[in-house]
Amino acid sequence: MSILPFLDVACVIGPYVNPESPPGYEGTAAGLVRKMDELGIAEACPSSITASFYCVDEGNRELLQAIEPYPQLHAAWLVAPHHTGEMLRADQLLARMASGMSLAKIYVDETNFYSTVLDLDIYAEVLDALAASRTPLLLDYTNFTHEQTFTLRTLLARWPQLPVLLKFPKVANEERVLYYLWEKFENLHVVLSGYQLLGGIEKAVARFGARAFVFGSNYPYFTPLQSMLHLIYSEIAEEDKRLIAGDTVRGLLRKEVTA
Amino acid sequence: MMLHDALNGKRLANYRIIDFHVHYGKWGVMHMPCVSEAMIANIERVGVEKICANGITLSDMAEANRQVAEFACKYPDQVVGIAALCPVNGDMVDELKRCIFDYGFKGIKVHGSMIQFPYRGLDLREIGGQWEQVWSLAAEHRLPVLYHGIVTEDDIRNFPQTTFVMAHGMCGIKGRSAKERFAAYPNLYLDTPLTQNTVLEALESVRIFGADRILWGTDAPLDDFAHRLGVILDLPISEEEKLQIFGGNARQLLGLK
Repeated sequence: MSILPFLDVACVIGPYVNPESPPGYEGTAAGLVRKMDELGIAEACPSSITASFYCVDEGNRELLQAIEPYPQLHAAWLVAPHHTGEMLRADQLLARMASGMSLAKIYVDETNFYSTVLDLDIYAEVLDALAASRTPLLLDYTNFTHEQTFTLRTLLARWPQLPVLLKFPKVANEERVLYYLWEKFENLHVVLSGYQLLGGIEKAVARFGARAFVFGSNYPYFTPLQSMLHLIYSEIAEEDKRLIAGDTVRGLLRKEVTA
Repeated sequence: MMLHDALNGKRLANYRIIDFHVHYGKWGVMHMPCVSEAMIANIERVGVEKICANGITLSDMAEANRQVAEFACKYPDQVVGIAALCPVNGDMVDELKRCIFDYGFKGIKVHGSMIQFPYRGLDLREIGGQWEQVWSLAAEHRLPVLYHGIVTEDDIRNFPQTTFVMAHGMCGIKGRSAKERFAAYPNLYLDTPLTQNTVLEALESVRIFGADRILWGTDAPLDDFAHRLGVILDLPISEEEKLQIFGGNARQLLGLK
């Protein structure tokens, strides 16, 4: 059992789109809970692979049904533009989400022909609604280019009340972007799974406080142990570790913490 | 046991961990918050016993090796020097001999992507270099060659007495058949650091190559020591196999006690 109250904001359930599933991955809510129990993760906000790769509405519905028996699981609703009529409108979506603690997720994949681009005008209505209700938004990038920093910067500035949980596949030279963004935007929280730099947690927390990071594992693609151990062994105050492990997100989910 | 200790934040000194892939110095393309000597405090906190440090990110290899030698000299129980070689810096054989005889280095690092603009992308093999002499000298002195580019499959095949370690190889060889092809060379090992350490690729590599041919490394300071423990600790393999990967194999290759 781990020593921190982990809440994982970046994990999935559903059929893994790969020739072979990662070892131990069952794709079910029960399987996720077993993995969490094994490592000592208290809570998680899984999203649905089906929602990302097949059908947003269907995936979200399946997710809600799957996590229903597990009070330690909260939904990460995939959101997408609604203008085609295939998705709920922002007000309907928020009404559904209001029934429990949940966050919203936008999956941004510009790596291939079926890419999902984050265009702020197209997403404006849903971002307005999320910001008004202070519902945390997980921005899940499969890659991050320097061109995308403009979009991210604009989003953070245009919706300052929207808590943004930013997930990169890997932070390397993006540090030079992040330090600027952390300095300017209190509503930015970087998900630990992609943040792997030696001594990076210590340096960023010393300058921006524990709000700079939130725990997310990228499970099952990564093992949750990577980011868990990174945080457990980091040389920051115990209280800051607890905030990053899960308490910051708990506050955001309960709408206690405002950006 | 090791997993339990790690989850409780205990120092892992008893497990004799060796990090085979550490960079000494800075790298201009990115901000690295904790470099060089500052890393020592981090290995002590986690309980990593030794790091194998190379200076490949500095353009002048002779100066890089001198700095690593100074570092290893200052922390002899914790730092193992690895010779960085590049043909644009002159005679590689002379430099390697200096690293072996003057500095007592225990391995070699070569990297194909460190060439600078406007020649980025140029194959370093194209501009010459005494590569075959380097591989022979490595075999003679039992120095493992950690390579990121440059070394070809022909080299691995033609120099069976030289130990080659494919940097980032555990998750870097995509696909089962490619892994099986490379695993047929008994002088080829893999190390563990990669931007995307997927659990699936990691386990497949351990199954195909065997735990005795995988070396734990972090690519520090690009990656955190504790972070990189996770990918091995969570694999469904025995504790004994994990300990081989975490240090046993490196100890054997480097001739350390």
